[in-house]
Amino acid sequence: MARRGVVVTGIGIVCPLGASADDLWQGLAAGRSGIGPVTRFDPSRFKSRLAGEVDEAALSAAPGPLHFEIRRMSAFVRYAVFAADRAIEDSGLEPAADGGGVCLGVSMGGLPNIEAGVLTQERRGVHKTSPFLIPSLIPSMATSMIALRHGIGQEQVTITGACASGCQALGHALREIRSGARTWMIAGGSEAVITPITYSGLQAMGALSRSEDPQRAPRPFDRDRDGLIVGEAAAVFVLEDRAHAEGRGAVIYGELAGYAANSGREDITGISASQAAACMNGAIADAGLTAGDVDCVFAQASGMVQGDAAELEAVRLVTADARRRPVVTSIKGNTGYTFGANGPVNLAAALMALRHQVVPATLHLEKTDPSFVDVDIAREPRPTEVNRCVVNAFGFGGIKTSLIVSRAK
Amino acid sequence: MQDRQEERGQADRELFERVVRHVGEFVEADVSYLTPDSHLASSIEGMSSLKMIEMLLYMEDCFGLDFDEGVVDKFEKVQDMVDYIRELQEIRK
Repeated sequence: MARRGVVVTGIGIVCPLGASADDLWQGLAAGRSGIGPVTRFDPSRFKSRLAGEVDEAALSAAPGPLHFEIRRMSAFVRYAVFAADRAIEDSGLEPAADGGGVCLGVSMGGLPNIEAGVLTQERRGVHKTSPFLIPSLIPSMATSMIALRHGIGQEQVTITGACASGCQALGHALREIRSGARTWMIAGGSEAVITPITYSGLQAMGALSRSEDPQRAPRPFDRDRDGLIVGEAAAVFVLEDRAHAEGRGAVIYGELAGYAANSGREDITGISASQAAACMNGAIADAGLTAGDVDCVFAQASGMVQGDAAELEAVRLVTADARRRPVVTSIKGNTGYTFGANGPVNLAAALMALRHQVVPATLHLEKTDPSFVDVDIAREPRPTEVNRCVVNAFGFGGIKTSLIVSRAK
Repeated sequence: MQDRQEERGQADRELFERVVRHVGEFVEADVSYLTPDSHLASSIEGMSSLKMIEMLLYMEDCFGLDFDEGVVDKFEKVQDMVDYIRELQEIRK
């Protein structure tokens, strides 16, 4: 019996390049950066003063159930609800119908609200703590608000797997539909942690780029890369059993054809090239493909010295015996590093690349690292035949995830 | 004596109107239909227990007052909140 196909029929996204998949694509195609000076707080005491911020003015506060409560939620909830609303509208799906569910990936949840809540408590007193504080910050609240707002009575799942959270959620949704347990899933990831404690913590880890020029940072794969730039985003998709989508005449963006995840064999923050390669190989095999079938890799690459190198080494290992090698790109120069939303934002970019048949450039890549010369990295937007992409997202704790997305048939 | 009563009545009406105005600001809706006897929990669309507590925090800031913990349980009608605010204002004087 043929395996169920899982297709994407709706995309909702908000990221530093805009509030739609078209905004994302236009920004990527034009090589536009969504990075700028931090505006959410005074960053002068930090070594990194840049961020990929969402333009909140672009988020129309759609009326509807729980409108009041949603406005009091941490930004990751508000962004996720906005993205889910758009994805559902885009797909034409009726989410109150049985047969589906919601699964989102969130890594750090309401960190800005935790920080603000502690400050309020200490400065104004315990009794000034908002009753919405706890609901606003728990990572599952993004998923819950989507389910409550859209009257979804089936299962809701939230996955917290560091910066691979969103990709894990998409993988879970893929498996749910493939198994026949669900006909459709609303799935993706959200993260919004532009708050001082994030900068303190990442600065202590030496993870942040020190560049003060938003037009030059971050610099994935570049010889002078020096760390990541904090970004924020939500990307949510409607995934459906292909027969269900075709039966209702839905527009299909692409097929989520494979997924794999693995872990371990390195320290807390390191990326093992062999494990990353095993993960990509697993996803390629899950899709019934070989490495030579892959046209493009949407990399995790954030601009970290060791992480970027390990990921390219993993691509080398995967494609060593392949009949042809894929082009590799990273969109972090455009969007910044969006933590749990990394994978879903990458997936949105890959779906647009499949639609437009162009691989977006790796922004700010000027000086090739000598150790990367044998890898084909997109330096300019590249018109080419794009049928299958690998989407990578890796997280602290050794979490690796890879998705395969194929062109709509 | 009569003048004082009239002054008091005028002050009560103004306080009631101010409370209703702040309730409207908080729930972002027209609540001009509220009367002193309106029930806080059931007369305002979408009111919930969390929303009620948040609204009292908002009222504290609006009036520059600190409400007692648990006072929310004593507020049944709009007038209860008006009376409580007036009491605190008089104590502060």
